[in-house]
Amino acid sequence: MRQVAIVGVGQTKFGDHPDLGAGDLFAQAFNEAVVDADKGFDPKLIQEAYVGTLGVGGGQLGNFAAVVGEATKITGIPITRVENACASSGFAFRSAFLAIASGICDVALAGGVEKMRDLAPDRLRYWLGVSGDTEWERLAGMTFAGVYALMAQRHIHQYGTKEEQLHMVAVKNHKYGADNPKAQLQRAITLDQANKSASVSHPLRLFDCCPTSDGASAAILCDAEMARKFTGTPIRILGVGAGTDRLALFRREDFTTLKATAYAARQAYDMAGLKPRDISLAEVHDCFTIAEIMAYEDLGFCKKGEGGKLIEEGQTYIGGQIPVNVSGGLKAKGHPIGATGVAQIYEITNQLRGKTDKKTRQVPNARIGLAHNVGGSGATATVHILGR
Amino acid sequence: MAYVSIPTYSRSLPQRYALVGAKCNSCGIVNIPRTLNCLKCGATQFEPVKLSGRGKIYSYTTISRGASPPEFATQQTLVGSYHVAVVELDEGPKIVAQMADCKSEEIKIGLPVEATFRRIYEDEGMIRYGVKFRPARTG
Amino acid sequence: MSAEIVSCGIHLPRLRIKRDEYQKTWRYFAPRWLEEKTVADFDEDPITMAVEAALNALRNADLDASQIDALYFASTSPPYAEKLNASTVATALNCRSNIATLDIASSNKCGISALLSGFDHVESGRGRLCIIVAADAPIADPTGSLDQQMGAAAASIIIGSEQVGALMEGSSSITKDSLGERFRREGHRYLQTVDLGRYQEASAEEIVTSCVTDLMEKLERTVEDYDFFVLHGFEDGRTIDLAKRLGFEDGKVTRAMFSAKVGDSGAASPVLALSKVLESATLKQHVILCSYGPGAGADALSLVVEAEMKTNPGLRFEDYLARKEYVDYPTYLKLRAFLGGN
Repeated sequence: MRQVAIVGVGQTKFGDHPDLGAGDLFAQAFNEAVVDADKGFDPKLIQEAYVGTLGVGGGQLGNFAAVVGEATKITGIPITRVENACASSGFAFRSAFLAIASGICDVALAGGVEKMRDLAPDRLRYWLGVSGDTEWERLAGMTFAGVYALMAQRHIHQYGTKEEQLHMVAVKNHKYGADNPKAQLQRAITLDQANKSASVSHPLRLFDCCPTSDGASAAILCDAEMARKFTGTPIRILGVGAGTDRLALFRREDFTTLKATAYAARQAYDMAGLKPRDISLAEVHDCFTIAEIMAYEDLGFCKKGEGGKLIEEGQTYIGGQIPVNVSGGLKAKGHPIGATGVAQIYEITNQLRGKTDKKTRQVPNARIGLAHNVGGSGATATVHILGR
Repeated sequence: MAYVSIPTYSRSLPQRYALVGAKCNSCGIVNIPRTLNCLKCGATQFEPVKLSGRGKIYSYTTISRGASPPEFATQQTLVGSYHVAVVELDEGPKIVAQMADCKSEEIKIGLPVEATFRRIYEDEGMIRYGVKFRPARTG
Repeated sequence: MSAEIVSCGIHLPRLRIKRDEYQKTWRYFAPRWLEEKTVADFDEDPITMAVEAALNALRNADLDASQIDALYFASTSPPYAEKLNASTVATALNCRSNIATLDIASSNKCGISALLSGFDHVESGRGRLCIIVAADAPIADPTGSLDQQMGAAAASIIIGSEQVGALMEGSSSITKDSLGERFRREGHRYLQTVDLGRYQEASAEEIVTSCVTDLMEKLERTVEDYDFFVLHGFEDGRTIDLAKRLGFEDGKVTRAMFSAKVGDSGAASPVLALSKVLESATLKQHVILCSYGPGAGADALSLVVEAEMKTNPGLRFEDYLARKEYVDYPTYLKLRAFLGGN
């Protein structure tokens, strides 16, 4: 298996893009990735492309690959739309890695895009529920906020996690989001504000839930041997893992862990030959604050049940044991469903290069980064470990 | 509207209306909803068993305004918040459903509950019935 | 083949509204006999209430739904005007598929009509166990006085040929079509009435009197032979008057009366009343019931208790009355609008 490296990354601002359709939105991220390969990169070198999207609100469900090709002018080569709900571009990235590692091709493009801000409220809420168990969970009256709330309740019941600890995650991520020019929400919040915000799905309040967003992300990967042709700072992909779990939460044995995450993490750590303590920073899938707390545990950053303690002690801030979501996370940066996975790769890549756009959220001496991307309520997940 | 087709809904009426589970002939666990393969051991032979409808709350949440799927928008407008629970049935399996006939203060993990037949939502002109759970009555 | 009532079960919705709530808004309340009434919740309807009552009837007699050979559903406000409601109830109970089902509708007397048909089903040998369930939530224009008395309830009675319970000794029926009394046209949601006061009262009295005396003559009985007189289709004050005129003392009548706390539950009322009486009727006691159908006529039947009914704790009439939560008038209107459809 060959070594694979990232040579260029790009990400649009997340939030509202009323003037750009999905194809052009992706093209914006793609163009940035091409330029980001600072020694020069000819897009014609791309041999495979994998782009994640949930489906753009149903606007173009079939053959989205063609939209990607036309917008980026790479039409002709094999392009695959990847869909695993919110883990779509995490899986797209993994597919690009596999294509190169296996020797099928030398250069591949991975990315994702989503447009959600142009959907009418009812349509949006319909769309937000399509990645869960429709027949039973949805018809019991829940969207994802409800499902993650059920997890939070068990975490509180089994481990004594405090509701306030959930809000602490939001405070941290908003603090870093305020320093991220590409974040959707660039306003710090106080714990008091978070504690008092309106209940969405008890115990999750307004600030415990990520926003809906438009956005796109792109990464150019190639065989590690040729990476230095395109950039002075290639980032190596050290570990790749992916996993799945039962779709409906009520069919899982333990609501306080995402087995898909744990499985993917084990694979990635094994491949990289690394342990959780080797990680310098992590971008985890905080669609809801409880998801970040559970991720701390599932990724091995703390013992099971101690996720609440980790955030309360400030260990996931820069300077703490393991900085998590210094991009603002999904919570403040935004969560265009198909784009999130590779957006995490974008952040980690810049951090590892020391090129984060605001120094205040640059993790010092970042050597190894971990990106964790989850689909829906945990039915799919990827973990990628990157290194300088 | 999420599209749960009429055949899909109708196929599961004994489960939705009367909590008829499938007891695996191999390992003995009760599967509900139905699947081709036993959730635990993968075997494919079952015996239908009507469950008692009694169980305990395993987890729950309160869906507030804006957090409901559009199928329940009218309900949310009418009643405001409503509660959803994962119930661990006495016979073993867990099932997810709305709560009925109870106040927020009453709901907690471990609360004994019992099934009650109610209207769930409407789609394609048909009333879709199912069960909700209410605090178990003593006696 | 003899047929006996082997079990009863009831259901009253948990929600209630007090007369005071009406007074606050309308400053007037027509049904002076009503103190409070039941209100179906947003997720209840005659089908869901029927399922509750039927399950209770099965539980009270330790019977399994698989033993049922026929299910009759009676209501003046069925959720479906076309698509059998009885089959939905049967599926919810997990009855066998090879059973007979029937919907009976259109009048306050259809609950008892269903009961009489249930007896026929079993006596004819068509089936050994027939369950009838009357469930109703009639509504009228909320700005009018008729709606003020409308409540919601369900009651279920199981008739069997192999068990001892309350034996049906005989029945009688009167049919007299008259106009203006409590009707609802096809496609209309609200019940209407043309209030013709004394004219309707006189006609009703004549019908009830004929029906009851016909039955007693047929059976060579007198008023003294009966321990209970169940009469439904009228407000409580009139019920007592009518009973008195027929010769029944208050004590025999009041046990079956509950409308002051429940409201008018249409076709379910007389079945509910019968269930309530049988809950506490003792061996050898006799019950005579007359169910009046406005603008239609009446049915009457006579029963003798050969084995006392069992009612599980928590499922008695008093238990259901006690399980309540009050709503205010705006909430009541919201629920009505919801139930009234779009």
